[in-house]
Amino acid sequence: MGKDVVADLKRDYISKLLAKGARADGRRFDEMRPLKIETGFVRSAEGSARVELGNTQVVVGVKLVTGEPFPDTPNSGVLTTNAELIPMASDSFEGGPPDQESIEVARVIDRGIREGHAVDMSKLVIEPGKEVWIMFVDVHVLDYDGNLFDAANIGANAALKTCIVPAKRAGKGEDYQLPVQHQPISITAVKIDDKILIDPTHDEERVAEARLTVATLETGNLCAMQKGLNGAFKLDEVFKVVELSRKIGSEVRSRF
Amino acid sequence: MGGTPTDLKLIDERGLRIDGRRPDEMRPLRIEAGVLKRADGSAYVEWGQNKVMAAVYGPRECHPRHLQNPERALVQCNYNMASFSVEDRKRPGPDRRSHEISKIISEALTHVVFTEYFPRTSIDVYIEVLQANAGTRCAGLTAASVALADAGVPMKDLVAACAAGKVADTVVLDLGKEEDNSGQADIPLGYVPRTGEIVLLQMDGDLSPEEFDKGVRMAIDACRKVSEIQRDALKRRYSASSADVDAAQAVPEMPKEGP
Amino acid sequence: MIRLARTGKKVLPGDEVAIAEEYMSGEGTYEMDGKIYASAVGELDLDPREKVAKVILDNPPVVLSEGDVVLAEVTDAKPAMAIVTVIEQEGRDRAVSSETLASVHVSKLSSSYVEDAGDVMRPGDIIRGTVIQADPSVQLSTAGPHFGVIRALCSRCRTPMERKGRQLYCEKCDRTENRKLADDYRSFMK
Repeated sequence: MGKDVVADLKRDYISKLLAKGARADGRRFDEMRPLKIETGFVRSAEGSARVELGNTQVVVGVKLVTGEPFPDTPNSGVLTTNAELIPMASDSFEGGPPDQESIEVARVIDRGIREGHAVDMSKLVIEPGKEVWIMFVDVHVLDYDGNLFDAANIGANAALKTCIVPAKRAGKGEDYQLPVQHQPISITAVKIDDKILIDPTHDEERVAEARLTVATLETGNLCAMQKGLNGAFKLDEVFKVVELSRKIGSEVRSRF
Repeated sequence: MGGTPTDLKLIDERGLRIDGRRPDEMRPLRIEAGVLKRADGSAYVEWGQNKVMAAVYGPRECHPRHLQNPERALVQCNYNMASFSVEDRKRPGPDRRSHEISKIISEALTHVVFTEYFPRTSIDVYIEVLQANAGTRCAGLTAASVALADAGVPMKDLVAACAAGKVADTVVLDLGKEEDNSGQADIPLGYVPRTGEIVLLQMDGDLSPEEFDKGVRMAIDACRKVSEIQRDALKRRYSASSADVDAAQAVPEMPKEGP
Repeated sequence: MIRLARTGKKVLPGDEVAIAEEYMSGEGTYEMDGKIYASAVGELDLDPREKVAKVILDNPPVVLSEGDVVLAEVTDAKPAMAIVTVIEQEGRDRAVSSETLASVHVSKLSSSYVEDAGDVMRPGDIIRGTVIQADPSVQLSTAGPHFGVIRALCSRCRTPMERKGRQLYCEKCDRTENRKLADDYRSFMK
């Protein structure tokens, strides 16, 4: 409650800095915060990663269980993505069932993995139409300072890359490396006072007019997007975000 | 407690446990204080294969308002397991077990916090289990105490916690996963070293009064060690600021007369 | 202010810091069975003159006391006083742990005479004030150049108003309003 008022106060300060071409933490407009990726963080998960993007910290765990495929995709494994924006991470998050915000985060992460064909889902079939691997990607936010989309996307990619299919435990043969084929990396930008800023902090997000997340592949092609917030982008601004996402995305990808 | 005899050998002929520990030996415990930026206080605990994060917000305005106490602060703990923290994926969200653990940890912490200093407020304690391997409530309570101290919440002492139990007819300390699954008893215990008070106690399984006596004492001894590790974490957290203090100490400041 | 006998010693909750025969228990400590113990993480301060043992906390909760500078939101402006809700102690990044309902008496709004608090403050204004009383009720003062309104919305259209000389101006409504302004009106920085 009180925090929103402080955000209003910061709005003037952020605007003033942007007019001078500066951001509160000293970054360039097209610069990401320092990124730290630690894989294999959770042993109880088949794949996991802890990601720090500036002061934002998330843990992503991947679990695989056997189950029935969807009737319309008998020759494909199943992907389920879930995000927990728990009150530990911010006083703006509330406990209880997932709200619209956490569902949006989960769906955008899901779309990147799914449409970017990060995993060869055909290799997750045990018996066509009967039994497949169901892959749960769970995002747990521990510390929230903006840009959950990218922190979670990078965490999901890192967790998938190190994931082992636990076939032995399920009595389905030998364990094998999850067949990961692509890294769909998302980069998020916000628009404040007609300026485009990459990787917004929480303060920047709170005063942002519009947000755009673009996931790209190693080919440079695009695989998922999401525009958010009440404001709007001009077409040239969209193209600008796409270009930045391709460039910064490939830098992030080189870290894997 | 499973309590079912299995061919799993929980204690070997040398008297050592399945992971090589002696009966009165705790798993390795590592604590870090002040690991999160957003929270007012935080702590991360690795205890054997357990990984637990605790964060504290407050004292702050109490929600929901009808829980406000005009005399005291309310300590509200929320214990939650990440869906990937266990072998079989857990459905996200609270279940009956996590509600119970949240309640007993809140009560244990309330006993040591000077709640009367902050009427009408709430002190919110969040415990997130990221990787579980038996003993998460003790790890959670241990982490939460450090997070409370890190948040500057006034308290009598840190609560330390550790479990004892019985496996293969032997009283042992700090049960691991296999021991918990096929052991005969478990006694999680929360202890205030300064006052000698027990603030969390549960037991399940089957114990003779003599075994219980031995187990509880073993757990209390371990809590004293846990307490040292907790205190060490807090000292390390503030070592940066105390480096300045050490420098100041070299030239002791003499008491001066007032104006 | 003269600093007295900071010991430089870090203490933790439960550490014995003095005996009750020699010292009184001050802030950050408690007394039990003839001994004084620390109740929080901080630096021990044994004052041999006043005979008080206290702990200077490393990360104290925000409990408002006299002299604290706070940011607050005006919720009501009556002739005799402005009613406000304290948002934060300026410079502390955590919630206020004590009472946040406060008031600014018409005589404490400015160093010059104000007849009606509603003439210089309106609901929704964000102000900076000094705590001049913390108990039994919180009273603020906004007298002085650095105190007063730091952000205000036009009372007709709710857009943030610009400073124009000693008054506020809304471009949209071509409208001027009066406030007791702080010297950094809308150039507040965190």
